[in-house]
Amino acid sequence: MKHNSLMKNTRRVALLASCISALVLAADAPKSLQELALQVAQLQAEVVNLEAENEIENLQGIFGFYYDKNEWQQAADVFTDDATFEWGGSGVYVGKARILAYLKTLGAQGPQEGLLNEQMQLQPIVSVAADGQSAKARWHLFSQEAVHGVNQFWGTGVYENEYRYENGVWKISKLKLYSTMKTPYQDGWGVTALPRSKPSTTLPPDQPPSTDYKNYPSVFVAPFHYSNPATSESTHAQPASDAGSKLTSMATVTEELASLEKRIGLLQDADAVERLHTIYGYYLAHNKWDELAGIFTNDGTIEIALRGVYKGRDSVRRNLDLYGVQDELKGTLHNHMQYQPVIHVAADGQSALMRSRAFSLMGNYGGTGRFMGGTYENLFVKREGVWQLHIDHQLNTYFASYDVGWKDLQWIAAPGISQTNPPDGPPTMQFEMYPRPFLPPYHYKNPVTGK
Amino acid sequence: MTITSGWRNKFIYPLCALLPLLLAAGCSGPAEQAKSVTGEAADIAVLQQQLQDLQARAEQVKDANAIKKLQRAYGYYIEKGLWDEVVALFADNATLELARDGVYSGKDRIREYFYALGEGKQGLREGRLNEQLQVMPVVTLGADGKTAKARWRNILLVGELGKHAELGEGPFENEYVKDNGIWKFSKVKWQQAILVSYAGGWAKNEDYNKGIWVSDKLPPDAPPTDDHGWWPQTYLPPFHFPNPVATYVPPAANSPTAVKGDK
Repeated sequence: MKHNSLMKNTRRVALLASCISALVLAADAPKSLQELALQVAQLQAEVVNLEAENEIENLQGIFGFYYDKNEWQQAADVFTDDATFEWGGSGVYVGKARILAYLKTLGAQGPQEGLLNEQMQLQPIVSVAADGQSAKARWHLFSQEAVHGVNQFWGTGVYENEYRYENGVWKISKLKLYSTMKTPYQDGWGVTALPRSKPSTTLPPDQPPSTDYKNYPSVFVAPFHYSNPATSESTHAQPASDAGSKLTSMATVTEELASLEKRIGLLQDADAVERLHTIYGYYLAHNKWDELAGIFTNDGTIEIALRGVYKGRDSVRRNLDLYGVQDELKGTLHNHMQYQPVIHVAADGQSALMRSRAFSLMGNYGGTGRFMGGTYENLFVKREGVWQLHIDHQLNTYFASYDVGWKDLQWIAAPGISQTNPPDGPPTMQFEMYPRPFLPPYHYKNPVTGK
Repeated sequence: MTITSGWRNKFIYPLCALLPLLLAAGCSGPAEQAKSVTGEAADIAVLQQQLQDLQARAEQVKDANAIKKLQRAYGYYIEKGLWDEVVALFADNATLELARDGVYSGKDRIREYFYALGEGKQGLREGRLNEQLQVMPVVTLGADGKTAKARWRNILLVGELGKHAELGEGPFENEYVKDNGIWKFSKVKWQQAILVSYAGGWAKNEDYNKGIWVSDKLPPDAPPTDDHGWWPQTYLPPFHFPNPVATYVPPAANSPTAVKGDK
């Protein structure tokens, strides 16, 4: 599909959808300024809650990226002063200062030589309260942990967390992880199931574990903060009591609608960026090179695994040949999963930065299998109304053979420059892979402290 | 999403009165502005149109969120064998097709399927692990606002302590319907790309159950809609969405030659 015809088709569908929705909504159309103001206030409340969902997803993702790298101060700073923290069987730590003290018992500050701590924050169900001031969320945790030369584990769990809106910022007010399964990598969950962790003896918690349960092989259902979404109405956002009183003139209503138009645009932008990056993952997983190169801008770049920068769609397409033959996947697994996006759309809605996580299952039947973990820091731009990938930059955390895992993984350099299919420019930055320590730079500041 | 966010339209709502005609004309003609209203009433009418456009766009964001919640809720219920909760997520005439088990049609058959999976019992049995992570949503809303499709990836860590453990993954291509304001599954279809014994993984094992979970005991209403075998056989289930930007077309004179992968 060419760009022009895509735009035309998109507009046609959009036009049709708007016509239909206008007809559907016509019955409730406001007749007076007062009625109009009420509906604008309602929409405003809904937009506030939709923005909250995105901010909370970002917040949990940001927490996860800090936690991965022992960034304890940064991690503790996303909590409210009176927050509680409970991780598996740790017991409950109350207050930001105690949370920080607890986190510090887990290891020295910052990325550590020989430490792998991939804690993936997945599958969010965020429920914002009607007044937009608090929220709850369920998340899935999936982890890959190792201390080089010592041990290595798979882990899973479910969070039921709470969040509060304070001084214009969302913070975590309660973090509670129900651990489900933990097993040494070399054994797997068919052989060994480790029990829930125990409260620390060096820094005992403020309260004992708040729920009595056991890890797998026992079965425990972490209580759901929500009822079944198919048998219950979702929460309706409630406008603030004074919302209507601010919308008493044509001028204020006009101004508010203009503001809402912008904010709804940004919500749709964030959705479009996440969707585009996810599609990137699906194309990559199936060697759909022409489709993948096509989502880049004509001057976009790809930079993966220190191979250098390939600039422009033709070069991006050429780079993809390094990863296999287009469409050819016989007996080969090339699954590149994209998780935990932290997306910040610029105020003008024309660009967006994204940090996300990559986790890959690769290899071929009868040959070898391997895992890859990594971080993306990407830039997306909107051109002619269509979001495109402009800078694709992956910083790999490890490449690990299935048979070895992470514990005894010998350090290797990232693949680097190809002699037969060289880049247009050198890598924009150097990075180190596990077991060496490295912190991929964040495109954002701490959302609570701004540091 | 089907509607690009940067797009503004000042001419749609006057057109809507002429909807039948416009549908025939493909909604592409120029607008005739309404002329009969004046003063504040006219201003309110303009704002009203803008409000309705924004309500429709906000509704799309909410719809996509609701569909994601539905699929994620499915994952949280299924991993604990909460079959009654899982079945409630389906529309009455929905279809279910997991792995190579074939198609089960309607809520009653879907309930039978899940109970067969749970060996007749609600709730995961002690000693078992059934982690099924729902990740990578690509949601596409229908223009009618009542239907949607989504691709997802399911990651499985399943097994029983002391007996067996498998690692699996594969894509869903699902469909959804908005029923009285509530989104439900109208079609769940999952391809079991791999489900392999943890010992040795995908390099050393063929698929653990060849994609057959319960159909050997509970025959389906229809055979698999596209059966492409099991790992190490590979298959790409079609994407329900077109390329959101454009497919790359190489310069004619300068076609890139495939370089053998060096990774």
